[in-house]
Amino acid sequence: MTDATLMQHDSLAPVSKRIDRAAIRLYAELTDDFNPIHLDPDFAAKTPMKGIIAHGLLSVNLLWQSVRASLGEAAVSDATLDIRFLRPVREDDVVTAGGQRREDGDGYDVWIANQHGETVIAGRLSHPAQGRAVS
Amino acid sequence: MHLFDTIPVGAAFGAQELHLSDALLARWTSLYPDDAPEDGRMPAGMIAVASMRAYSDLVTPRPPGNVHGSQHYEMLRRPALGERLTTTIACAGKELKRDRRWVHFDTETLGEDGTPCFRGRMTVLWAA
Repeated sequence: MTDATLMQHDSLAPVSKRIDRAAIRLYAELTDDFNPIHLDPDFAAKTPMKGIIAHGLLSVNLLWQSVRASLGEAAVSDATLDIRFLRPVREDDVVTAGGQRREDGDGYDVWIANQHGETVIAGRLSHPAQGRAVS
Repeated sequence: MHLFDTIPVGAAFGAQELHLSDALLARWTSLYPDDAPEDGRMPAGMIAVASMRAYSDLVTPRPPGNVHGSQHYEMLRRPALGERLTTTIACAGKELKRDRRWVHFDTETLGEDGTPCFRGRMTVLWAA
């Protein structure tokens, strides 16, 4: 990916998905992560999360898709992603991923928000091998 | 059971193989239809399949109810579809902050030729 490619995009294209029970189940099977906090309503209700939460990385794929849609395949091939899971994603939430180029030009601030406008995941995507995209 | 008090910092939990097969990709794209690859390479989000399978299958048994707190990924190259990947996982540290138990794990995934494809660090809120 060239610096010129990065400079053409101040924001990353939003990508959305409904996180339903079937999606959570399939993601558990794909990752072998059958933690009952994702799958067992009775167990999850007794935890501090007070109910089922989706796997955080299930939503993070939307970030990769957003980067790819905005900057091309090459932009995901040499990327560094740092994210924090701030709030749980619940069954049937609709989450949207996006990002904004940082003012210092060093990559993108990225986020995933739910249908209430709450940020559930936030972090930063950068391309260390490319150096600073915009000075 | 790997409890917070006993999980060994620095311990390596072994290696996990992942075949980027047509069947696996088909399951992935049934969840994310837009991820059908156009360049013959693994969709980026499948980095999580490699790292989480290593965590799920090698760091066992774990207390139920752990919660993913943060994740760092460094993509070095996206492997080709059909490639067989090997992921190792090790406990990188643990800390108690405001009565919360945090455990850090480092992962590294190598391609068939032994070169690294991606690395990760996951931080998990440990349940017990």
